[in-house]
Amino acid sequence: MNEILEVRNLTKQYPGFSLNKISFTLEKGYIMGFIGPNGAGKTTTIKLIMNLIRRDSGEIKVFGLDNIKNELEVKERLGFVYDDNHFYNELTVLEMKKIIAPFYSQWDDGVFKDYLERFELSPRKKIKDLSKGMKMKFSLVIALSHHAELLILDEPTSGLDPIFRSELLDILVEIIQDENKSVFLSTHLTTDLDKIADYITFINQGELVFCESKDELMERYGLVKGGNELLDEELKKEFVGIKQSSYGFTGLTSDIHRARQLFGSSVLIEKASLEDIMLYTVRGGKPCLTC
Amino acid sequence: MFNLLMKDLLIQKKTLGYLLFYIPILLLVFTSTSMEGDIAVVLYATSTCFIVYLLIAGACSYDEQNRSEVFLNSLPIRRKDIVFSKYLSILVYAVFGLTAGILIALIYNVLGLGEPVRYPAVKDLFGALCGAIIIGAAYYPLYFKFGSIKTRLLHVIVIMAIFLIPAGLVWLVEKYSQGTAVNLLTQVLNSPDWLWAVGCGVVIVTILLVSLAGSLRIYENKDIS
Repeated sequence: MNEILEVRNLTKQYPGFSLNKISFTLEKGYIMGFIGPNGAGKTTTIKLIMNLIRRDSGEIKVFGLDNIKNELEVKERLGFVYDDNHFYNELTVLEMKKIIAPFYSQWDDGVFKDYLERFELSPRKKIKDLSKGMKMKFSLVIALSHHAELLILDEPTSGLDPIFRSELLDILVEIIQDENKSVFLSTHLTTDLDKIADYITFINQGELVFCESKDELMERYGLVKGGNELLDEELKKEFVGIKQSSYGFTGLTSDIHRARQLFGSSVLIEKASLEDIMLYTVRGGKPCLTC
Repeated sequence: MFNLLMKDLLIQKKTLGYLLFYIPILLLVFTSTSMEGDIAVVLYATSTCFIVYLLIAGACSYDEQNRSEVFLNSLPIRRKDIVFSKYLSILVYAVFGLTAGILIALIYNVLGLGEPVRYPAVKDLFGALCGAIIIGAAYYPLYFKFGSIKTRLLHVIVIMAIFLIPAGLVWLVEKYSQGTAVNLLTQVLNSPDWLWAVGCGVVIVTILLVSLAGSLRIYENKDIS
């Protein structure tokens, strides 16, 4: 069994928002980027995986185990990093560790000390005196000190400066050098994922858009640029999203080969970034505000 | 569960330190009160209930301020253990409260501030524990359902109801009822101490179990966000 995380037909309804039959899987040894605009349902999905909120229907298996029926066993092997600080502000790093460590049978004080030194975190410093980046690092130290096999990170890089972000991404890459570990990373900063992700799961308005390997996505999606005279209503439907101005159009295609067949050499076809894919998919055919 | 209990004490280390300052304040209140009869019962019950409330509300407030339920429920902990540990903490806080009461009695007696106050007997321990359980049993279901801020207000109402409803019923029976009800009430009020203790014990345990069951039901089904 290679799947470390399996989500099938996951549904959760709130007044005004619903997560609708989301399905994806993550295998051991990979980093999955979980992307979508704010309010797409990323945090809701993570809270469902962590069993912080109750699912209406569907199935979540972590390490092949149901995340509710085997909650303790699953959480023993999970590490989590949330976007906000949830630790007690008045306590020091060491006191916080004293609270958390007894809950994990695999807790390793040696690893904890090593990471504190590496991240230059003082054990005597109070949580409230740590910067946002340091708090995030402390969360990561906790996650790594009990030898978590799956790391779940919810927007860990938001609000961090580029140096911190880069450092975090390097650590994540280092973690999956152990092929039994995986990382599930939600973010709306897609440039982070361009660097490190193996798979991308994209959700929008509670619906799954795709779950694919990043390399395949990069090969399949493309930005098509050309003059407006090349487009008609039928051809516009070929694009995931399209921006038009008086100078011409730029459209995102999910099938570069078909775009080449349709337009030949009359258009310029460029590689699309994850940001392009997200932006065009979310905006669809709506006019761009900046054009 | 023990770890959760230790967690509640560790996050309140400042409050526990402040307890040392509360003792002279309680002593001052106690010495300025001119009460007749066995004032030791009142001293031990008051100090216990006061400190139990302070520590219960304090721990819950720290959890809410730091939104720590999110990280606690992400650890390998069962929700029911979080609830059980809160109820178990009532006992620990009651020990702190009772210790404070004994210290007050000790200082009062050593300084010779009035008629010597006796040290706690079984009935004082029983009374203090009943008070502590009522406070905790009323607090936790409200906290798990509504959070710390709303609970502070609602808790006062529930506690007043718990104490005022029986007194109100006695008053109503005495004023408006005749015959059997009055006889029954007279019999109850004149019951021997042991019967009162058993009756109170049954009522308190029932309140505790109902409260615990309610808290478990609320928290097991709660969305933590």
